[in-house]
Amino acid sequence: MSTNPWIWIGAILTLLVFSYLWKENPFYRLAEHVFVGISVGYLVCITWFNVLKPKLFNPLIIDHEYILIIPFIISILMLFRFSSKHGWISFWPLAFLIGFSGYAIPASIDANMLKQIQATVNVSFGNDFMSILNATIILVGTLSCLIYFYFSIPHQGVIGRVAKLGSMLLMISFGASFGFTVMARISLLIGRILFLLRDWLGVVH
Amino acid sequence: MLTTKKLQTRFFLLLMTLLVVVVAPVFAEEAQTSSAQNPEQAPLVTLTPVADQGSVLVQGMDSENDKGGSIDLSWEIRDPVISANATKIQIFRKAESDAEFTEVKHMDISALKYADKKEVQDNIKYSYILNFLDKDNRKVYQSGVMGPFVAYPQWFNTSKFATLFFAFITIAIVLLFIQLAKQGKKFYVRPLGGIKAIEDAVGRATEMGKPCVYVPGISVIEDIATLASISILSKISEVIANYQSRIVIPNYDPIVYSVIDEVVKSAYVKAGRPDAYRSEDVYYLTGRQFAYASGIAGLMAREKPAANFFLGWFMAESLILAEAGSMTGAIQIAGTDSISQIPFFIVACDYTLIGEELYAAAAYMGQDVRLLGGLKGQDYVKLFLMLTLIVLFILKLCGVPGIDTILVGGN
Repeated sequence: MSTNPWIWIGAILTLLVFSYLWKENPFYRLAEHVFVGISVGYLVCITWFNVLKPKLFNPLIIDHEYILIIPFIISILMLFRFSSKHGWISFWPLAFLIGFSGYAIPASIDANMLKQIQATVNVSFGNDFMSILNATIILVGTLSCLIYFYFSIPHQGVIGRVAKLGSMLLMISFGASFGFTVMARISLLIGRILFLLRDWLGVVH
Repeated sequence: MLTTKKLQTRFFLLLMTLLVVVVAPVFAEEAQTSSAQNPEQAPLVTLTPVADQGSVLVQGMDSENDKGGSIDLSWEIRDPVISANATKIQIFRKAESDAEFTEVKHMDISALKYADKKEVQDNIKYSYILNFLDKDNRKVYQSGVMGPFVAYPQWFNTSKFATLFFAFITIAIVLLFIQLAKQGKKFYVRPLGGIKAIEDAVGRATEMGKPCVYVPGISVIEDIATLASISILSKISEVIANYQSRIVIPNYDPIVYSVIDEVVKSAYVKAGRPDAYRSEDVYYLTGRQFAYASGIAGLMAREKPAANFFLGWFMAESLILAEAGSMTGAIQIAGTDSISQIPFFIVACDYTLIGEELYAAAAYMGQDVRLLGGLKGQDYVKLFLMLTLIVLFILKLCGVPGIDTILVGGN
């Protein structure tokens, strides 16, 4: 059995979290509150040491990069939300942030539209049956899935059948993805049980 | 009625927006290279084979479509003896002001090219010598002095013209339909099962006298899924306020929390029940993924909500949330455009809005003509893309050259 106090803390917290499998109880609640509390404290430190200090205060105060006063003021405006009288001022930085999402349009078009279409166009119809089948599935599958997400016409008749095919292909894809991730989750569980049995109790090596 | 002057002003603003959003990124990288020289003024030193002695062909040129500071070198070994022995390459460089050559790279030869970005300055002439070495670092071949080559930035990233074209088409179609919607044109949007279920779930929560839990995901405010989620939340909050029910919203991101707080407050005011708004039910939980999941799992287990909504962007915490919610017996409605997480929601939730259905739900529930117009516009963009796909595919089958890279510019 381990004599390292950190291993003990980790093991006890693991057991407290596992107790949720029985039902919600004070032990789980303790672990949950410790976890949430520590994570917030950790995040505050990370924000200071990784963002505010190296990217704002140090360049501003030490390197005299006065242009950073602008984002500093914008961030300060956020704090006006605590004022009932001047709370509207906090909408300005929010509007800037939300409006800034437009910057993602070209990147999104490039990655989510053009590269996908190009990859579909580039499917190879080889000489053997399997490659022809593979290319047909990719082409028909892409078009039918796009029709499934076409909201301007009711899914009836031929369109309905094509959309149904698209839906089925999506479900097959989701099923494969689900199975793959479940395997990864089981691997995580094995890792945690191994931590308890090997690192903490020392019953396996 | 819009006057001509107002229309002109709007058109001008629209044009400016397009220029900023679409054209700016096409310019090679950032405007950090504002000191960029006119390419016409830069010395005409591109693609200069200098070491072609029949055995090795070495070429160099300014890197294309970049913000400067880079020179491309490539080599092709034609002599079978050199090819059989050379395994590494040693690249030496000399600026016009330097007295002698210094090594800038020692690398495996198989790459066949190297982009020299090591402190390369624009508009400075650089010369290179390449040594081809065997596995014992003995010189097999040395190129002559190559160059001079000059790095300079390009105004346009020509490999992104397809992006510019499709961005223009997409934005134009969406804006057209938004304008039509604003002019009062009615659009048909196929009803989605999940949307009806959202309204039913709120009604169920009211009847049972239990709260609803709304999880807006773990992304930032700029994320489209988060914006769609907030739009749906606005409508749900209004219904909740009308039914005098209760909604609990733990948040992951502080900015999203600020916006959601305002949106829910506004929904209660809109419903005529500002006094019913409970600020303690809309709160920031934590910004760490699994701490957030454990906090919500505990919340759901304690509050025993009648309905759980998971709408927004999710990652690995999705299954933990959906499983924990499922154990409480609540009706669960999820929606995300995070493809990898959709399977978990499908398995553990009663209704799932898949991908773009989340945006459609936001437009459908919000009853905002701009959102509906945008949704309709996106449909026509999809139609345009399907036709593009079919046309390009047929052209490729007919053997038209260049189709393989027409949309991605060789990238």
